[in-house]
Amino acid sequence: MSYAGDLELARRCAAGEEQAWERFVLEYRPLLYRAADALDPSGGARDLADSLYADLYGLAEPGAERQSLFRYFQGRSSLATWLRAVLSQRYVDRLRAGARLEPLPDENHVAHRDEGRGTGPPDPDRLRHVALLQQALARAIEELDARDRLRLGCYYAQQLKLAETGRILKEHEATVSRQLARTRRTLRDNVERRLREDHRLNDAQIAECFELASEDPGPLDLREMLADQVPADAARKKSEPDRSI
Amino acid sequence: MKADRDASMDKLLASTLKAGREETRRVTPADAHIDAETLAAWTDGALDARERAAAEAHAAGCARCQQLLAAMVRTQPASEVPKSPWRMPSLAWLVPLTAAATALAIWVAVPRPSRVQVSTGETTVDELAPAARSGRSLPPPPDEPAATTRDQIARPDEPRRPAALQKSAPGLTESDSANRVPPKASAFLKDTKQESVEAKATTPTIAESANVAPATPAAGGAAAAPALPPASARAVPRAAAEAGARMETAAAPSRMAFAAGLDVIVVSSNPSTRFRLLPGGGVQRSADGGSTWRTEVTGATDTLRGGSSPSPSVCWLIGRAGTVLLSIDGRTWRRITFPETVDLLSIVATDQDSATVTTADGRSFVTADGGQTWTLRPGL
Repeated sequence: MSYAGDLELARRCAAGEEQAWERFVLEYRPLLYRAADALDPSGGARDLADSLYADLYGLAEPGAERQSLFRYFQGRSSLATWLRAVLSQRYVDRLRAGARLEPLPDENHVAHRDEGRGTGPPDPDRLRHVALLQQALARAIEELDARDRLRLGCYYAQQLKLAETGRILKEHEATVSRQLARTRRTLRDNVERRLREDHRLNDAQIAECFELASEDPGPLDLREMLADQVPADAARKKSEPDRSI
Repeated sequence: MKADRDASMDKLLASTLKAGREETRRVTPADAHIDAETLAAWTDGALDARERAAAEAHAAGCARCQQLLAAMVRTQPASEVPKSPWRMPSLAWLVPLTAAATALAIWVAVPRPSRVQVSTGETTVDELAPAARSGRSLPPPPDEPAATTRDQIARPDEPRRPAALQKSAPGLTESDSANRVPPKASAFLKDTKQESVEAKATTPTIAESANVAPATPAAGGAAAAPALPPASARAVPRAAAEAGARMETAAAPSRMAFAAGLDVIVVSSNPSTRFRLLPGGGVQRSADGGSTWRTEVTGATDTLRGGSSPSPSVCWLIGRAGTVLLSIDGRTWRRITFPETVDLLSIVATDQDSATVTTADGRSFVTADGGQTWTLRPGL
């Protein structure tokens, strides 16, 4: 599909043509605001839409040549889609930057959470079983195809719906559902095989692993689990601020 | 047993794969994050197979890019969401047929509910009922598999878990943004607060099929609309009302409705041609019954509130402060000078020359020369 019309509009806007700007404002303002509201229904992303508009206009420091953001639009998609992509990118980057500044839960909070699990000392077998299961799960996920991992990430980590996940992968939601079920079966089989062969657990112990891990497994940080395999990577990551949310 | 195994793995994955925690791959400069250009091309299906595979491979192990994809898909307008099989042309004929048969049966069985549509002109404007705007409407066909954004309006989907992306984050402040906005942005930022309300009310909600009742708030908006029964009790009579409205259209093919601040669809005398009024003065035109829409340039900056299209090529639109637009080719628009800057409520046009406009204070103005002169209709 050709987006020559959009590319021409972008070129004229970048050149500062008044009529092009008027058309752009009329056609794309509602779209941009709707996208912002979809990202943050409370209106918290509208300033990003305004900021994006400013960058598209190309306001520059006094004396400097105006540099419009439009110059990055190459016409590989519609202008509307490109604007949504830029807005989404800025929103996610801001969200992640903000997450870095959020304080970690204090030790008291963690201690209180652990207190709720029982009055006695932690069961070493329980901790070991949960760790083994998480490690096996991490390995099994790593062995999946990229597309399967992306589908898992969209559905479970990003909490998208089946239809939304399907839109990313260009699959029907029924296909997404079937593929997720298949992936879960694969993961389950691989995890059980690892626990049985690598750690000599029997069926009862494996069942206990799943039961314990399902209760409160805590977040799965695969970087820590894979530290033995990719020490260089882990060392590099530790030197960087935590980018995860 | 298999179901238990699948359920336990589902639970395990749901509880362990917290958003953003799965970041296992090493991101090198050669394997950089997905940029906006690539993301947009991905969304529009413009990536070739190799690019697509590379992007998927990166996103599979990159929490940031998964977040980006999730954000992108959430911003997808309802009009771009792929249609369900029920909306495919091959099955489209089933929808009105089923609705008509159901409505006919109900029409006989229950008393005719009061309608709030105004019959005038040669135009039909289907507007979303207030109840439907709040997410209540007729249920979709039972086998319809879609969980699209649009469909979620009519059918609650699976429970939505709180998403990380929903929370607001600190960042640019109002002052940051305001300081950077160029002069031209004054128009862009105009009516931001109003736009916020309108956008939230209109984004997912356009009634263009028998799924939604043609209830129309009278002048003054929803406050003036008649009291409505609960949605559950109203669902069936609404279908009957819709069928009744369709029948009335056949007998006297002219109605016009008005909505304050909502997306409005002005249907021409030929139903294939429709005009959709968007917040902010935007207008879109469809020549295929609403399947696809093309954005048009009207020059209006304020939300248009109603219209009348006596023929596919002629359309009159009205808005606040005496805004009247006319198109005689269905594509280009010119602003008509109205004698007063009063808010306009409705318009009934019979052709490109003749139209009657009703103002917010109840007066009617008539033109017979394409809007060059207007005459106050006495006694109204």
